Amino acid sequence: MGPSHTDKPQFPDTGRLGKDKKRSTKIASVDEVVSLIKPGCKLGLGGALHESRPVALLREVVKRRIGDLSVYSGPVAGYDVDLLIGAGLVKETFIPAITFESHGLAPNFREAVEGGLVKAHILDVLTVVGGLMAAALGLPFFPIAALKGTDEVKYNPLIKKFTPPFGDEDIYAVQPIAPDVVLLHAAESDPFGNIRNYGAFRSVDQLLAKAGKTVVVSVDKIVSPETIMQDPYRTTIPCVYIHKVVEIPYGAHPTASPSVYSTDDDHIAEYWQAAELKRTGRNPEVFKSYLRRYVDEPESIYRYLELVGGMRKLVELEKEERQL
Amino acid sequence: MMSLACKPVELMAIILARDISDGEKGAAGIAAAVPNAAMFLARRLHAPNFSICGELVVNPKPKRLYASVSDHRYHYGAEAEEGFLELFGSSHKGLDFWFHSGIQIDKYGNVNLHLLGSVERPTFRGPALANVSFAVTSKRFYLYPMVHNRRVFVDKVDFISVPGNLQGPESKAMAGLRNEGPRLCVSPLAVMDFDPVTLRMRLHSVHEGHTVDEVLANTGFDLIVPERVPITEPPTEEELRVLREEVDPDGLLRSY
Repeated sequence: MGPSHTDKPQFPDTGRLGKDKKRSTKIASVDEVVSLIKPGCKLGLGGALHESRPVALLREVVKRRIGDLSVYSGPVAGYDVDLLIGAGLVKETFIPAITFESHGLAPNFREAVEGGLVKAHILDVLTVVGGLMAAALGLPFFPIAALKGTDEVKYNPLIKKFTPPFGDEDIYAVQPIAPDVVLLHAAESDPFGNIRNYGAFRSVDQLLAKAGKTVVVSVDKIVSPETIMQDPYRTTIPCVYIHKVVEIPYGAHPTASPSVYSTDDDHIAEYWQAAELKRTGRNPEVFKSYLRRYVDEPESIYRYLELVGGMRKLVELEKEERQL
Repeated sequence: MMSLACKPVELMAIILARDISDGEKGAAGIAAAVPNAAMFLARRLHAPNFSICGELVVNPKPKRLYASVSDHRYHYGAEAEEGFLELFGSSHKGLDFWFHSGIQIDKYGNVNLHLLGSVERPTFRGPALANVSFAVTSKRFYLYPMVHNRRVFVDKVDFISVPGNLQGPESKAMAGLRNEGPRLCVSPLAVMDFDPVTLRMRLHSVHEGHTVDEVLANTGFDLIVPERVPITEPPTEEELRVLREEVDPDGLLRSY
């Protein structure tokens, strides 16, 4: 039997680990990590928009229909959160902007919010960063002084106006944002959870990792501890913040894993069309078959990767990334 | 003469580019192909020392036009990558300028990107935006609505995502908005600026092929119309060539 995505990858013992030989790894199976996500929990997603999103793990969440979720994220989301909403699994979002940029607006998000099924809280990037900073730094709040004249402050549930001890105007305090489970995707990790994330949004991942109660990372590749030790300055999130690591090749697809593969715009367009046909009521079946074909039926990541275009597509996405 | 093949959004990018000065600092939000084209164009044409910064990436040089900084391919050729700590700081300290589109824009240049109807149960939920601060902490900002009609140009926005001049000079001062605010509103039909006394939107020029009456018919409020309304200066051959050959070779703008 070939490898399945639920197998535990082998510990890459090169024989040069010395005392670390007895150290426990954080490598887990997809089943193990997804079982940490409970219905109704606060879920925090790393990356932003269509970069470094833990999509393979989210497909497993959808497959198991783990619902009633409160979703936090890097400051902009698109495909993945729209997919969760389209499967009916989201109670509320704490994400400043949700869009598909050049493809259009987020169809399932729009439909669910306009239909009163999902509460889309109104907040901005400083609230997200400040809230994560408070949680990451162990502070009861973080100050924000830049919010002026916007109606957001009347509705943002995470902030409160206060008179600071210094300065001459009232400003806002944002409460800590500490998701129950944070899901990240990165290019590489060693077996102990030392993460290398090369994306532009790695800094939000770094905050989420320090703010979350349980932190799980899918990586395209597990590398040896020696690789990490050769250049510790390239470690973006140290193992001490990470609870589980799961190796899922192309685990961010159709979003990008910077340095490894680019965004699959064609697949995102296919999804958008399906979701928009559902939203407009023209043909809800197309979205149902999208869920069936790409989420529910594939029994492994390898089957999924074949369905989205196989080697030809993946090589193309890697090539685009190399040429950047 | 303006090229017949020039799309309104291309003209918008060219007009915005002209207002960027050498040595300035600026950036744009998400879903922002037009302002990004404007910034890359300005840097190539007349503002080589203009820096894109403040929003994670410093001076990217992408090979083609991408909608925003949220697309990692936009970061190609950057001189530095920053984090959210720096973004938090830049958002408080401000840049020279910023840009906003809008699902609604009103006569005072207030911007709605969130929703139509009520907050509790919107009839339309827009994409919203990540950064509501950059426009007010920066020295000025630009509006670039992608369509010019009465649904977008409304008397009063349903929701103020980003304040322009609020309800005029007094309310603007009361809210602690001390910067210039919206300088220009560049639409597919015309260029608007703001009357310095009332802070209300005023017609500045009309693009070739369009008329003052057409602009007024598509504007849902009393736009101030000065005695003389010139034709918007058409793109030069050089502006259009650099835009199409160097900034947007794949024609992202032409696809809108």
